[in-house]
Amino acid sequence: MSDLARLNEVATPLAERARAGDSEAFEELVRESYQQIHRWALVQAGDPDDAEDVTQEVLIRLHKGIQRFRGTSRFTTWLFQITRNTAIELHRRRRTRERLADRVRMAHEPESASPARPDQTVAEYGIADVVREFLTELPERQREVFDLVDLQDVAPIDVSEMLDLKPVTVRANLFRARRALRARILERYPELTEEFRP
Amino acid sequence: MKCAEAVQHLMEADPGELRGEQDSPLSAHVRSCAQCRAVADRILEQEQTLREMMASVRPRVPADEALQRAWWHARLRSRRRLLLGLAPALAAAGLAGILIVGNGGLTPAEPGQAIAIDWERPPLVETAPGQQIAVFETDNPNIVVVWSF
Repeated sequence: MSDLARLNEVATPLAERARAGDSEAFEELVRESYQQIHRWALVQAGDPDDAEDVTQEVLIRLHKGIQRFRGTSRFTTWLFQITRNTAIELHRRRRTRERLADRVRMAHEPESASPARPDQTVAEYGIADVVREFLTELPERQREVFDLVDLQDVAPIDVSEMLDLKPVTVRANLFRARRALRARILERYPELTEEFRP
Repeated sequence: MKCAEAVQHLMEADPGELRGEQDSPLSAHVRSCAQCRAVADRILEQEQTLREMMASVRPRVPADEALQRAWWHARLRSRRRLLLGLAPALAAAGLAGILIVGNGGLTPAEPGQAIAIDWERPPLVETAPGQQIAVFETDNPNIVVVWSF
């Protein structure tokens, strides 16, 4: 059983109890879901610092919105969508703030240092090249699809429901992600493919 | 299938095909060609590393601490809604004063004066008629900015 399937099995009855007002069940639900929320947030934000903010906001929204969980879709699908919407919203807000800050900076401090880029933050997180490339080189949609299908073993048809995409679009994004990531992997081992080059 | 073609297919293939487990021309090639199997093995190895590392990434803040913060923010937001909801009514009632924060009593705040707030008894915020109130949370849970404008 995949981690996501196990989470679904554990979290669904907890969500039902939390919806009925059981605060202990809600706390247990958060403990069970916390790492998964953070993982999705990291994949969507592509930056560890932003992922922490998204995760925190998701917990607040989960607390506020647990009443709306009706069990018509899988709990993990519902939670994924909350996480995704939160990540998109925080990203939009952050971009607006950054644009405003840039204008102020340009007006008052033309030579000030530029803010840290996501890839710098990821590098500081101390993770392997393959993870850094995954988080910084792939577009968000490709990261999401690759993470769910190839790393978390979610069936592409379920991913199409989670992301509200046509199955063919899921496959297209999956192939693009694999191609980009594998090209970067093989770049690090040129001896493996040098004989195949024209 | 020639190796150059196989490597192109390897770039998009499912992991099962890379392992040579499927009934496909690519899997058959990977099973019979050591060079292409080495490429496939390297891809599988790196993707396994990625899988393991993504599964092991933990948030910096422990779950219980994040939960406490979430409770705190949820309470703060509900109070903010309460305060914002009260503002027009208070203004319409013609209550005087710029900003009064107190715990039940009317204790005007001096500029720069710290006020101990008991969150079990939410503070009362009043504005002059026609003014609005905005309440901003900050990163410090002990600091809330109340803006009357």
